[in-house]
Amino acid sequence: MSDTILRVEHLSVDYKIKAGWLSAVNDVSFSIDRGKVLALVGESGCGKSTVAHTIMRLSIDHNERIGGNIFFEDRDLTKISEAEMEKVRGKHIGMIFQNPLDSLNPVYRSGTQVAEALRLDGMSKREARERVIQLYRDVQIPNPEERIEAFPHELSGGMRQRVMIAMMLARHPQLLIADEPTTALDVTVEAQVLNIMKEMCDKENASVLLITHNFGIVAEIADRIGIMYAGELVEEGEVHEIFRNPVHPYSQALLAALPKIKKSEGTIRTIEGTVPRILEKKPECRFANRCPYADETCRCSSPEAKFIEDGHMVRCHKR
Amino acid sequence: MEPIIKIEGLNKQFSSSKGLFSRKKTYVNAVQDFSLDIYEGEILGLIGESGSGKTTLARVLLGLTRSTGGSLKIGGAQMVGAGKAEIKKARENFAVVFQDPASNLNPRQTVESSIIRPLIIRGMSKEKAREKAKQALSSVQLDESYLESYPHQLSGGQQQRIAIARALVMEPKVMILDEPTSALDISVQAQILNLLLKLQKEYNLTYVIITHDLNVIRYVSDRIAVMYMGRLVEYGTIDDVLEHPLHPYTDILIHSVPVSDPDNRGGEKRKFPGEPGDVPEDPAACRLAKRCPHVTERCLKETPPLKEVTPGHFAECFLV
Ligand SMILES: Nc1ncnc2c1ncn2[C@@H]1O[C@H](COP(=O)(O)OP(=O)(O)OP(=O)(O)O)[C@@H](O)[C@H]1O
Ligand SMILES: Nc1ncnc2c1ncn2[C@@H]1O[C@H](COP(=O)(O)OP(=O)(O)OP(=O)(O)O)[C@@H](O)[C@H]1O
Ligand code: SF4
Ligand SMILES: [Mg+2]
Ligand SMILES: [Mg+2]
Repeated sequence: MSDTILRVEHLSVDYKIKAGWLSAVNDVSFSIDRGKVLALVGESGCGKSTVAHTIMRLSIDHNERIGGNIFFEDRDLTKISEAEMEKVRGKHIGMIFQNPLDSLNPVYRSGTQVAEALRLDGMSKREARERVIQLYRDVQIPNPEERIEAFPHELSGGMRQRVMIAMMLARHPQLLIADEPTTALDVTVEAQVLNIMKEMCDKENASVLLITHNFGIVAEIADRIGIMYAGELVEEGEVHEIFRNPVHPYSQALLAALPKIKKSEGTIRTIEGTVPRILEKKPECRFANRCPYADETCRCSSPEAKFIEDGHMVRCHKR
Repeated sequence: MEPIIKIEGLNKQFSSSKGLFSRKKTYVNAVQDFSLDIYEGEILGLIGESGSGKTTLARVLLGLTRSTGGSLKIGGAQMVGAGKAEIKKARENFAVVFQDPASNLNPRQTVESSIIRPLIIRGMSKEKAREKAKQALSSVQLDESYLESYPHQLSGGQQQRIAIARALVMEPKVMILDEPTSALDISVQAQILNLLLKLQKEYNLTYVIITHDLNVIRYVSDRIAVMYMGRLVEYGTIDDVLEHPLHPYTDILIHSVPVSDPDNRGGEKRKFPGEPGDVPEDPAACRLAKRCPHVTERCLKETPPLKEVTPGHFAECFLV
């Protein structure tokens, strides 16, 4: 059995919008080993959720065009039939959505929805109920016996997020894709959820693709970090290495932006400018219009991914 | 000075049926005996455990849900028992950004129509409204090409920024922001916070900001209120609360923030025993008593008073 559970190769995703084809993800390659956590970070709108949805083959209005390959174990998820994919989703790859309302149905009681996931795996009704109560307890939902009866709108934002986490945990997937899973949780509950994920990796050898903008979480549980900018993976490497020695100019700016001040002490620095929305692929570095080191080369040719050290990839002409 | 919002002994209890055929009801005291004055031109940060009642309090302030006890005055007018028209009038100058980015936007409306519609209803011309919408988008770092997008075509952080833009064009005096930057990376988050601070200063706006991100709270607030199980357990200036926390829950919360350093995993953290929702049977007991590292006999029998420990710094604990 190979050590790699997921291998994404040259993935690109374009969305059809009124003005043309929007290049949301471009030539993204990475892999995740069994038992490991890869954190994907980057500016709002840079394509993180698109990568996640494309791995799961979830499309909302079928307005995209996809290139590249996604290997899960030995199968190429871009090639298998929808029926096969249906078996992979939930059972082998679990997903926690950025927006809880995407996966919770407002008209069913929350516990019923989690139980349904368990019943898919052939559990009896009574067993499922007991298991759901235990899962609610694991993710620290208060008074689980009562809360399984609550409708999604009767739960707080953070409780809804915990229900989704419970729903995913219920089926013990080998790969978990978690898109901003703890944004509505306070730090004490968040710590518990991170523990659960860590345990899944350590005890069940499961892997996690964790999308987050919280560097505290990244530092706490990630083994590797991938940094995305405007649809491209610009740097990827081992977590200590990237925190100590970020090499790409965007990564450096991002890691330098960590704020811990009061307004009376000054203004937090931001990265000047905004992410471009790319409607036409051109030979260029997508960060060039904001980069302090940019020159002619950067403006008229695309930097290739290169390895500056074993397992530390960067995409920049100047590095 | 007269507070713009005066909350006194406010309660909100929810009751829900247990099952379709069950007559048994369960009750949740989402907000309990909550008192606080909010002054014009201040930024109040509201923090607390997930499920502690922050969103519920915000909804009561906005008139979206009715309290079940206590008093709420807005601009001097009593809201409890007031008629629909009065309730609406008091919130004329209020704007809100809801916690789930997607729930702020109508899925069938383009960004353009969700921003300009309320303006047109107010009597603004279509051209003028469009112009305002474009400005508002650029102030949240989005270009005008987003005007024709539908919500599902936007990323989580883009939805959140549209919701903020939509609130801003209404030129409110009071903004209630429930986790307004939870879907944003640090750089865009900083741009948005700087924008909110600039507007607040220019127009002397009042903000109530709810967030789990203590860095955000530290950066924007003047005062901080901490909630635990529906109760206000501590409040004071940022220095009071973040540098000299008095309530054991605040202390645990502040010392549980993960440090951004992979070499220091699981670093020194305060232990928080027990589980959320673990409260003493006795309704008079301190809500934290079952999980508090400093619990005494008295905490299990009586409700601690909200005590002013130093001027303007309050905490609800027997030990302070
Ligand atoms: N269905 C769609 N149709 C058209 N454009 C889309 C669609 N979904 C996403 N996009 C666009 O693709 C880009 C990438 O979006 P994505 O949701 O992947 O970003 P993200 O990195 O997850 O951002 P955030 O951190 O804000 O959630 C954005 O510019 C977004 O507007
Ligand atoms: N409509 C409702 N019916 C029944 N119970 C409700 C309802 N709305 C909220 N609650 C309950 O009230 C309590 C407080 O919820 P609230 O959403 O105010 O918490 P919160 O502090 O905003 O939490 P979070 O940080 O997770 O968003 C929770 O126990 C929740 O389940
Ligand atoms: S390739 Fe050029 S523009 Fe791009 S990040 Fe490197 S130095 Fe900056
Ligand atoms: Mg996203
Ligand atoms: Mg809330």
